[in-house]
Amino acid sequence: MYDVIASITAFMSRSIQIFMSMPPADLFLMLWPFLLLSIPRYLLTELVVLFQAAMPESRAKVAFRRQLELQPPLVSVLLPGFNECETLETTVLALREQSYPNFEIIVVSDGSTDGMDAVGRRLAAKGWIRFFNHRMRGGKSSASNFALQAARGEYVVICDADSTFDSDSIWHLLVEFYRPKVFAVAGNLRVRNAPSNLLTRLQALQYILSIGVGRRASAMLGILFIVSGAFGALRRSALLATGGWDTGPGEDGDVTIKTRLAGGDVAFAPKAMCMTDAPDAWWTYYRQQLRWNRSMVRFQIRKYGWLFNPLRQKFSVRNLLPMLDDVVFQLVLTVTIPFYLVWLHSEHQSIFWPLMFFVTLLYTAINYLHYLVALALSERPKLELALFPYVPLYGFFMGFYLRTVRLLAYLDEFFFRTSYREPYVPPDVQKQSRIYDPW
Amino acid sequence: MVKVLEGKGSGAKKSALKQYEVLELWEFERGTDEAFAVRSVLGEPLEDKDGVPLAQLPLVIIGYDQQKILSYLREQRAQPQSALRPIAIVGINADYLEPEIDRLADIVLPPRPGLEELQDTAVMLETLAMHLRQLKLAPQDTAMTMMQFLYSRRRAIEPIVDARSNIAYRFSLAESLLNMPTYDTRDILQDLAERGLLESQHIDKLFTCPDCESFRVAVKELCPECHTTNLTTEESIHHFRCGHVAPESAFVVDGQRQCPKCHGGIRHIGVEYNRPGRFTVCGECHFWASEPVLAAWCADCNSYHSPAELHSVKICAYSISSTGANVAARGNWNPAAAIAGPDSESVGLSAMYAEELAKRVMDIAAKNGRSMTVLRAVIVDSGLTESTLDSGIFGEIRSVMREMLRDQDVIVNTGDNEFLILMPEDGADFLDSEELEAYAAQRLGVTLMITGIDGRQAYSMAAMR
Repeated sequence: MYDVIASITAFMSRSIQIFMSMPPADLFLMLWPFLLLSIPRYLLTELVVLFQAAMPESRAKVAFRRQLELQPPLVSVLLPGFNECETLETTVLALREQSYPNFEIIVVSDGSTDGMDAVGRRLAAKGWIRFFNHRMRGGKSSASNFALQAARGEYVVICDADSTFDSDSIWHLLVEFYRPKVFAVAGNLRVRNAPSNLLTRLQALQYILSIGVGRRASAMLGILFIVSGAFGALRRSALLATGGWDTGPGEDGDVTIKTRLAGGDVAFAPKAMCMTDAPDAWWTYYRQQLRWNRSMVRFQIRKYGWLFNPLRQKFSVRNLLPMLDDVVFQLVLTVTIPFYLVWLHSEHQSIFWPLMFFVTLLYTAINYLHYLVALALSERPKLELALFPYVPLYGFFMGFYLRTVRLLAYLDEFFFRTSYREPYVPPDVQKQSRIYDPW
Repeated sequence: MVKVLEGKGSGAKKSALKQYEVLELWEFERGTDEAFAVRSVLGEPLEDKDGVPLAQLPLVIIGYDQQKILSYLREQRAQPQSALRPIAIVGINADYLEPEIDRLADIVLPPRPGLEELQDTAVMLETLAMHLRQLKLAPQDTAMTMMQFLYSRRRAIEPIVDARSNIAYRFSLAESLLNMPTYDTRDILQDLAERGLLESQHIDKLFTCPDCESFRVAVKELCPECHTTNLTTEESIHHFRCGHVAPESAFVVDGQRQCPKCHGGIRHIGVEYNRPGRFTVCGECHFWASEPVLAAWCADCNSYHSPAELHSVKICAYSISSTGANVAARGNWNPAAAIAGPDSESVGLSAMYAEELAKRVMDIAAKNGRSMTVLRAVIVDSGLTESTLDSGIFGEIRSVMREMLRDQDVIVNTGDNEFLILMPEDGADFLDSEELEAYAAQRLGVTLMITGIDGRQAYSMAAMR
């Protein structure tokens, strides 16, 4: 045991010595993707969110909040769900805790077979919700679209039937509509079952960093391209004008892009907190990530690839930037990193492992910086402080595990179009949807 | 008419009816054939009824106007003195008979009744009058009068459907006897049933308005939002190609069935679209609801209630129980005293009634050219309690005795603890009283005293448990 520790320590000190003795130019040539892409992006993110946090609330926002308090408009909370029998009541109870005074809850059971309709009817009988039962399953988009048609409020809040919320979440979502151009507002997400195991803790870090900090910065820069289906708000009129949700999977991102194409902005409400259970088994998580990441190819490349084309009539830089952010930092980096690593290994075989160690060290430092900023901005810093020891593992988790999963998802979708056969949407619906969407 | 004229000759015979009163409702300022026939068969009615207790004076009403008859019947049954009197109606066809008349009268004969029908009527009226003479009447106690009515007629109080009643049913007989409105009458009947004096049999259960107790409560479908009834039902359509979901009415573009979002065709269910749900849309506020609110609206007091708030009302038919029969026979509300055993007076009365009845039966048999042996069986076992009486011991005794009797023999329950056994003398052998007593004692351990009524020697025998 002592020998192992001694050899690790020796490896670490030798690696640091190697890099300290290397000329900066050589170092730059070896680590250019990290130095040119990751560090500026991370630092820019930190700067933006800290700047935003330091800025006082705009007058328009304060005035809009006051107006909301005086005349709270009706908000329709849409809860489409499939087989959510066990969680529906908890979610509805959490929504009933909302301090916002004027909202309705519309639950649509998408052909559930687990007795969700019985729970829905019971809650409807109490007058807590408006419940609609779909006899056959049509996918989440069909249930969402029906709920949208049944909604009466100009603002609709979409959420999953297995989520719970801070009691003032609707207020925070709604206030972000103070700018008329804002068509959609993304809520903040946290992992409710974070202490379950290592995987859920790492996902909790992922939510804190990429959603809590990342989406805050994206929204500030005007390049936020996603309103999660787990929790977000949209203007009903804008949503109806853009045809609501198209057939999924990936309908959340799709509807946000359509909203942006219609000229709207997407805002982020960091204090509109939603908690959801993250997968606590690696296989489940792996499958979830495959499903989520396939939509990068399906939507950003196939359906909306034309956004990169400046010759298209609807081309605009404000939509190009978020596409670039997504495509470069997720797709391009993920796809090129294996080649980069092969090149690095073949060209610098002798220092490959020390180099990997050094990169990991740098990423860990950056992640800690990121984490500290997230803690500073968080409304639950004490709770999230418990994740401190897991930050070094987060680098491996994101950099190696998740990148590998993403790569597999992209390749799978690119070559096999697996998302078109996912059971998430019934096959009959999916078949027709492919005829309609040429991409 | 032919039958009546034929019967005129035999009308010369002495009528079975000692005395009676006749009420003729003239329609055309002249007497009816029925009145003539009644007088011919039943004899001349009593002219001067002063001093005659009305309860024991049978009444024959002759007429066709059911409304007039009904009103007179109600009046008779509502009067304490005449509530129990035997009443026969002559002149109403059974096919058109008002149910209430059927409940209030004892006998209803059609127009132009036959001789035998009139003769039987006379026997029945006289038997009933005789039975009433045995009872201790309590004209001021309407509830006791009702009990005695049921006891003397062995009749049940059956509810009649009547839209004018608040609970959709009326207990016409009980209402007249008690002189109370329907709802109160039902309460009293229910109370008597709970005390074990009446036996209730379920007929119906309905819901009434909690404000005014009316049954005229219509169920309305209301918009959950604005509470109007202007609701239409819509089917939703899910267009697979673009995921659009909307009411079916929205899937018409330029008069064609098309998707308003992608303009794709809506032709093939299950391939291009399906119908995931059904919902109601309010024509006033356009609110969508999967199910409208069901509300109970009272047409009488114009109030709305949730269905759970309605009062449930059980409608039952009521017949007299064995305890109730004891109470009615004694004219005493204390059932314990009634169960303790018939007192000497009532035993004497009962014996007289049974004997009188037996003689009437034998008379009728003789008129038909047949002779009849009649035995009177009395339970003399003092060990009988209310519970054994209620447990159907009479039925048991009757069925055991039936085993010993011939097919043509008849056994009838004529009192609280006695039977008449009618045995036509048609040449076939029949058992004598001793054999019957012994058999009853052996099979049931019950002591019976069986006496011959036709003048033959009386037998008595006791067998202990």
